[in-house]
Amino acid sequence: MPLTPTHIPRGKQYIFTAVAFLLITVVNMLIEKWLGYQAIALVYLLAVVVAALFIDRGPIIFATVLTAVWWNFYFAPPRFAFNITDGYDRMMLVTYFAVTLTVGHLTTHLRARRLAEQQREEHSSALYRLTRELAQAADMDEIFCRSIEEIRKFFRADVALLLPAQQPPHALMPYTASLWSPKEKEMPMATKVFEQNEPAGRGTKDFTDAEGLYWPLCADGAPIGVVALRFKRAALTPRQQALFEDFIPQITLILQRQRLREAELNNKFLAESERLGRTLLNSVSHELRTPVAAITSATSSLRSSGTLSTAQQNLTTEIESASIRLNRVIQSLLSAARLKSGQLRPKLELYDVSDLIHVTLGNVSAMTASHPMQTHIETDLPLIKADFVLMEQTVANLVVNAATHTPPETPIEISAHAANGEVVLEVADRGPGVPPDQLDRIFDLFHRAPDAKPGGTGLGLAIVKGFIEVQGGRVSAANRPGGGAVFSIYLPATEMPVLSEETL
Amino acid sequence: MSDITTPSVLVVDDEPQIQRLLTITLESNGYRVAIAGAGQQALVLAAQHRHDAVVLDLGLPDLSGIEVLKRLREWTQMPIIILTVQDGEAEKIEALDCGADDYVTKPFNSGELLARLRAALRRANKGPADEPAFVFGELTVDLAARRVTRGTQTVKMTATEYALLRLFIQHAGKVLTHHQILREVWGPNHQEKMAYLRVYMARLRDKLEVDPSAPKLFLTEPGVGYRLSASP
Repeated sequence: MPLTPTHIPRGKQYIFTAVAFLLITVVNMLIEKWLGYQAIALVYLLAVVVAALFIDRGPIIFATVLTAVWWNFYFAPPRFAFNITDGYDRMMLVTYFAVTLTVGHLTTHLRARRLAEQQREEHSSALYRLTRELAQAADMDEIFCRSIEEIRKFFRADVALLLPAQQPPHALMPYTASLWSPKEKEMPMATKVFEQNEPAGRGTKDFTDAEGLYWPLCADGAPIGVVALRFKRAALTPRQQALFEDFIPQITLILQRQRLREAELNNKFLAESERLGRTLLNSVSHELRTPVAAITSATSSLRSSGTLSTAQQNLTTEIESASIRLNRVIQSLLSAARLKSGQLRPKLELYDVSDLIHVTLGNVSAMTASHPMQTHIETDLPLIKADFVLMEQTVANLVVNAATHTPPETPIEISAHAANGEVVLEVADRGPGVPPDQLDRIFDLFHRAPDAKPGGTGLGLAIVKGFIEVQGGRVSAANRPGGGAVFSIYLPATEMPVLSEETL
Repeated sequence: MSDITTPSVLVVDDEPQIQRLLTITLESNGYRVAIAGAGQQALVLAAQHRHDAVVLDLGLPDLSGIEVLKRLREWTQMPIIILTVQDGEAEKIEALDCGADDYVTKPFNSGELLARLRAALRRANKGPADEPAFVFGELTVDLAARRVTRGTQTVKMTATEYALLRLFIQHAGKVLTHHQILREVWGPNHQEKMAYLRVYMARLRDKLEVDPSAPKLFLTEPGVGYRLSASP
């Protein structure tokens, strides 16, 4: 649906006026002898007023002057002379001018208003149509396709939509439904339009001689893509451009709404799958732990009943230590599952590292009894921001790991100090150390040293790394001078509070 | 053993195995046991008969354990001990802040559960601690005279350190959450000052523990708070 052309071109109006004047003059000459020369003036007046309905002010003035002069020269006495002797005729001439000019002005004005109204209506119905078309689109692709089709219809141009590619470096690529592809040499211009959010190309102030007109699509300040138009003939007229400038925000509005809708759906889906995952994990956790809880509780009851023989006492101890070990494996598996599914939300609070180390050593004492423990904790160590439960499991994993992989009676050293704005927590042993080629992979899930003793799940160090990373820290492993391995945890140090000194 | 003087414990847990186990353990240690498998049933049983304590599992099929706890606390102050899973720190804290007396983490040692239960019953029978002095090994705290001594030596303490110590003594043997300690010692507007608490706890241990690096007196409850050990 093309827009109504404004009106007949000015030059044609003058020619039309001149031809009409000649025809009417010929008719006037024929009827003059019946009506008299004064009525002829009224015929001219009638003709000019009718003409004013169709032509502009300039041609009307032209027609007025032409008819008045000719009437004066030819019809009004004395004939073939410009002087008018009769006062009545003079009056007639002046009135004639006044009436034609007023009528000409009024009708031109009226027509201009009607035209503007018509254009406005076309403008808004075009926008309405666009909105309706786009609102029916079910997804992003359909919005793109319909936008291309609507722009093509209204502006009689080939339309292309340039969108950034999914993969880096996110170069602009024509959308599949585009009706043309801009030439390679115009792509830098399109990219510039995309980045600077300013139109360029044919008909704009930049790159006027380009083949296409490039217009940015931008929602909430974030660029979405570029609309590229290629015209068969001229570029956009000012009116078309005004309409086009109204088209763009409509399209971006719909795109934005669709994006929000899709993001919301996606979130819902994520939340649902996360909820399912959590429910499953919780019920598995419950099913695994309840029997272990029953075993632990029952054996501890047995042992404290005080009626067991030494052999029974020893057997109970075996059951107990087996269930402690089983519980740790379950704990590790569940932790690894939580880490893998991204469901671990650490609860970060300020903690005292020394406190953390002592609680942990107390908890694992049964499993590390064969190794002397040495702790070196720097005084006035800054607090760390961490999740105590995760930290406890991390340090316990490292200490138990060291106890498992080193010969009995070799010492395990746990130390903590501050360095470069970090708190460094180290667990060092005097065992065989880690083969140098394994150091990088030792924190990988299910990685086990090739010559490792049986036992261990390959989860421990992966959990250490995962737990520390979700708390914003990092881990490293190295071999010590003099033999043995050292595992280090780095966590950001916090500022110590300034306390006022008061006494009792 | 079902005379009126034996203390009665209401066990609320939906796992039959844990129910049986707790029944055996508690009965062999001189308690009468009533079992509720769900939250609603627990509320009914608690209202029908007088019990001396409740052992409440937080994972129940109908009501949440926290909900049961809150409804019980609307009308009774009897000791309530929570059973929770590992890494359930958030719910432990919530339960303690809602009025639970203590918690035991599954898998639990039955000795530990019995000790907690005994301590809670003792505190409940005694009422709020108002003894003028607290003695722990060499350490003596004279609350009336506001004097702290270790052996023969007087320990100098700041006002805040003393306020913290007194709070612990008033609740000896009971877990205090970080939240509760901060509110009592620093006031309601200092809930976020966790750093203060850490620093003052380290100072208290420095001054009062025999070996500050292996505390026997001020015990850390991982991720939850602190507890003053009731017996040396």
